[in-house]
Amino acid sequence: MRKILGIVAAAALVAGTGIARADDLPPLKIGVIMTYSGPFATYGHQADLGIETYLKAHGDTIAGRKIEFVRKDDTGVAPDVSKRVTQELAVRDKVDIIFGGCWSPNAFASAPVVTEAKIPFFIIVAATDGIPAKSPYMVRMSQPVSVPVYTEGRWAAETKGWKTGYSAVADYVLGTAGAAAFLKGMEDGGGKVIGNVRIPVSNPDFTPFVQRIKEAHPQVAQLFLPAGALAVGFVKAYHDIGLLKDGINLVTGPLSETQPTETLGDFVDVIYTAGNWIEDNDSPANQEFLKAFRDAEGPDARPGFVAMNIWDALNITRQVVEAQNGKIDPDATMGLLRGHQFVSPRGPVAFDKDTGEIIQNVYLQQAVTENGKITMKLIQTLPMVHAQTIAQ
Amino acid sequence: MPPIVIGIVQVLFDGVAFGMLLFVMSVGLSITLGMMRFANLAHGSFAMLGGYTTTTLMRHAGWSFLATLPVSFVLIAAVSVVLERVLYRRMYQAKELDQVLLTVGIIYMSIAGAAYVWGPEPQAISLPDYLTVYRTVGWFSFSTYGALLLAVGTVLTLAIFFGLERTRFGAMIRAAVDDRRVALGVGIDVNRVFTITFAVGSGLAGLGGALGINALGLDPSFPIEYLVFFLIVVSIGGTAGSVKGALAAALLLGLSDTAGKYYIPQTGAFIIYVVMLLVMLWRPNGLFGRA
Amino acid sequence: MTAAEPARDSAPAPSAVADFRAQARWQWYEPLFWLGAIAWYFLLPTYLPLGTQILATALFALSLDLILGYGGIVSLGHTTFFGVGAYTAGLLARYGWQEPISCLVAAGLLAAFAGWICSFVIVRVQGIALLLVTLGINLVLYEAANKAYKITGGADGLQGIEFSPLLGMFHFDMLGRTAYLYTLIVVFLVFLVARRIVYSPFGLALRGMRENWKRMPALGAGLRRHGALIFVLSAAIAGIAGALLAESVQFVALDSLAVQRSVDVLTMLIVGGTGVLYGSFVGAVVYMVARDQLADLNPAYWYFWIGLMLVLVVLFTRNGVVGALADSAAWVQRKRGRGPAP
Repeated sequence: MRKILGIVAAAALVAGTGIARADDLPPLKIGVIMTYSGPFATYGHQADLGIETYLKAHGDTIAGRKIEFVRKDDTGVAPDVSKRVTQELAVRDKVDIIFGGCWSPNAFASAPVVTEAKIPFFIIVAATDGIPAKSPYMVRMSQPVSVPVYTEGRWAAETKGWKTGYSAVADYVLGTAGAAAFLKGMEDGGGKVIGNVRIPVSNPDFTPFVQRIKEAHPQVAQLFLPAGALAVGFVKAYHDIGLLKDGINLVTGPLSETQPTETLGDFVDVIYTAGNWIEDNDSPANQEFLKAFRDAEGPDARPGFVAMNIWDALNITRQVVEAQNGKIDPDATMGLLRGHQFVSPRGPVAFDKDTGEIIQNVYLQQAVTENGKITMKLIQTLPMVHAQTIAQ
Repeated sequence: MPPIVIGIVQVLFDGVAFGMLLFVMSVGLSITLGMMRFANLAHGSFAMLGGYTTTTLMRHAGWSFLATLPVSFVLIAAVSVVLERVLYRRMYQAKELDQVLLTVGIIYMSIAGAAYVWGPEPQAISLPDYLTVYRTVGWFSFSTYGALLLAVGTVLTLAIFFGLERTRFGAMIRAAVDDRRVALGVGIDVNRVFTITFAVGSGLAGLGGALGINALGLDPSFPIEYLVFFLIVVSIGGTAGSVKGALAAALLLGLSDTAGKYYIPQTGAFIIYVVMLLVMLWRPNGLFGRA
Repeated sequence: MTAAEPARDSAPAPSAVADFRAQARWQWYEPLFWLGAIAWYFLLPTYLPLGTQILATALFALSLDLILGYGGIVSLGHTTFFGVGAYTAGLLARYGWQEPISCLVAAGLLAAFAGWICSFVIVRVQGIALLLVTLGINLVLYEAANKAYKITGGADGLQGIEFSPLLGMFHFDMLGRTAYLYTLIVVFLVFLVARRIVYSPFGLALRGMRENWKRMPALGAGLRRHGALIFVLSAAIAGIAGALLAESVQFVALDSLAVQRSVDVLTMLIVGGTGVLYGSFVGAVVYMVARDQLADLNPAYWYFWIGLMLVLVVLFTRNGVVGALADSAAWVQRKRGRGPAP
């Protein structure tokens, strides 16, 4: 039905203009599977901002083919929905490329479909280690959980000399992995983890958890919660209960899908974080991205990591499609992706030749207040970290 | 003081503060359920709207946090009256299931509406400094925000009890909850009593939503996230509109949640669910419910 | 011309039993409905994954209808049994037993067992307490599955499950053809059983129980037994539905135990209509097709339109969509002056 309407509309358009434009070539169809509804709808919103930014900056054609986005809502952590919409994108919409994997189970469920359908798939958010290895057609744009968390633990114990640590992680399997990586990092750096709490993902009140940390009195506490309301709530409690005054430092993953300072209010200056991107990187690629984002979304707008991952995925898509003169052969595309390096606002990124896992810089940052404005300040850069080297 | 005593006092303070917040938010639901047998699952939508009223006033009109609270109360009360007149009123005689469906529909609409107007991301407010500090009295340190929750909760609880027990209108409410038909028979305008009660109850939910932003967070999925909590308070308290029961249930929930997280964090969310199951099996009509 | 008419004509004041027997006969729309489900396969080949999910979900809704529409037991946690079924099939496949049909049977049995355990509690409470107890069991099981991530895979889901081809011949293909036909056949067979139960003397007793439940604070021992039995049957069907979904998706994760699914299925059932067998199917089709289409139109705000749909269904129908269809059919008959006086 929609197809027929589409054909009618297309016919009317051609008849109206009377000119066959660059669309002798079929459109380049990109499926976007994101969480657009429910508690984590910010991910979908950020993805849309990334798309909008790219289109404004680079136009809507790649190698003469018009880009067409087919957006699908995975409704949150719902592998059955994710698998179904992946099937639909493959069978009904016949997309050339998919950006998806908002959640690890969703990405896992999509993997066999893209393997069978031979559709290159960029994992945009999911963080469980080893996902892209599940399909020869996957690469990861996000960061595997072990990398930043291990780095934080090791840095805290080795560089900062904080020998006692405490883990506060979300009570699900990714949180467990986060706690394990932090423990390994601390131990490799000569420190130890003296306790841990698991925080239910449906948790309204963080005070008791923070109280426990206060009493255990470690030198550094690790926070690992899904970015968004939970992480923000925890940091609020951490601040309110005054753990900083007690000399307990906090290392975290990303706190917010947007910049942490926007939803955290005015007390982030106690926080250290390891991430794959810093906003005030002077590299041309980063400045281009920031400018494009401001042009598209307003002078005060600040992008989050999902928007940047989408921007990156689109840029890389452009390069591999142009390299094939507008075609997308799935196997050739994967050959151009895996084992190759690209330029990104975060610095160089490469994909492992065999597993599709991302290799990128890790930036240790501290939230600082400068002239009343809060920014993330770079402390240290670890170049091109690969999850596999950490696992060993 | 030995740490164990400090720990217990801490848990009592935080638990009671959290329980008070839950009570303020859900007492309206308890009374209206008792009076009209109307299962308004969308009660949390009112709380959410109250929260957004506060964040909007603070961010765009530069109001102070405390000044926004009464506005949230009044505004949500007004909105709820409109909804009651337009939609809910026709449903009082309807089947319970239809009430559930209607209010679930309203929850969904409010979630999408809030995401459309305020965006899907969690809202942050900068509380004034005097609400984000820890005070120490002797050996005991407490958050001023927790103290605010406790103070507002206590004042409102006293006001609600005084209003119900000592005023003429309170007597009318109690009569209507006890037996709607008899109340009608003695000339009480039950519809009007109900509308006012509903408005006050919803207003309190809005106030609770605003007051609780710092503890509960605020994003469009609020009405679903806290639905379980409202249901627990109402049902453990007793479904016959018992305010005492709702208070006891809210405190029990607040204390067991806080104590569970403090002493046995491994159990996660188990504690409150198990407490709820046990109470329901022990007293299916709630702690203060009538058989 | 309906099959029910002759019974009415021949017996001007039909006894309850005669009326009941008349209802038990196949109505004209029933074959039509199932033919429609077969037609979906040929007419909408790119919508087969959606169709499969609708069928499995409809079966789940049917299981809820057995206890809610016929037994008067409201559950806000019925996905407990759906999840038990899904994990049974998933874990069997994970640990080497990949034959789909036997997995389905095992899932039904284990879910029935879980239902039997829960039934001791369920028949002792009602009203809001019943809602809370069913919800509580659901929440506790969800947390348990989350904690036991070494077995269940936790929030990441069960990794690496694959079912062997159906009957050794039909591979679960990407287009979803095998999954659709397989699900359709299983759902039809289970539906026949449910239909048989509903129109048996036991089904009649159940309806009596539904009415009694409203009037009496506690049930007598006999009715309690009825309640427990239908609850176990319902749990088994929910388990089969869960296993069907697990097999067609070839993946199981925590969301099969999520409360949201319980709420969704209850919503669908009320939208379709309770206590009318096809209400669960109509509700699942209407709700899931609407959700799919609305989410495609606007992935971010489709909740609003679903909510609006629910509100309109409540305001303008008596018993969901099926109720509305029945009412309009009755209205048409009255207009023609052929139907029985109201």
